[in-house]
Amino acid sequence: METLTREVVKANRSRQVVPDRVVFRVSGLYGVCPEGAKVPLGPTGSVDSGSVVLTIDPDADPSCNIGVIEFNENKLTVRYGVLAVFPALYQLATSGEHDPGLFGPVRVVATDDCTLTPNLMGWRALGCLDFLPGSLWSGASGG
Amino acid sequence: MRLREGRPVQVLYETRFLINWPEHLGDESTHVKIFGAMVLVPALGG
Repeated sequence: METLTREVVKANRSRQVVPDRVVFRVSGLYGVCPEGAKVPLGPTGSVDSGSVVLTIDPDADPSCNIGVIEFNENKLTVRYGVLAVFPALYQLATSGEHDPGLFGPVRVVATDDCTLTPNLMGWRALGCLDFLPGSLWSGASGG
Repeated sequence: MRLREGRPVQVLYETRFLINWPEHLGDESTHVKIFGAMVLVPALGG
């Protein structure tokens, strides 16, 4: 067993460990979809969303906005919890034709299993997407 | 990669989703293209 000395402690503190696996949290996330999309309203038709903006969901489940990178296997797994907002939400909430409670920010959870590119500068994702309860579009899914 | 060195990293992304609407909303699909950025902050390495 190694004797603990000032020098050993100093050497241990300065030793650089390059991990094979890193757990990380996602912060400061944003996304935009300038062209928007046509979103359905059910029997009453559909509406153009206008530009869609995503931000991180501050009330997301603690299992969200966390990921892990396995460098040796070039794998990245991450789960995002985000809010989506777009101009049509406000128009619908103020139209008087719908329950305004269904037109707050739309909460979405996305889970991605990714393969890192060889230079570790990006990744290709295969994922799934779920719209959480609380909005008209609850129950929508995708990937 | 900076994360491996214990440092935060900003990542730019561009992605496309196919959203399948539930049956009561018409059971159709919509493509959405999103781009943006996020910061990944290392929490634990091993």
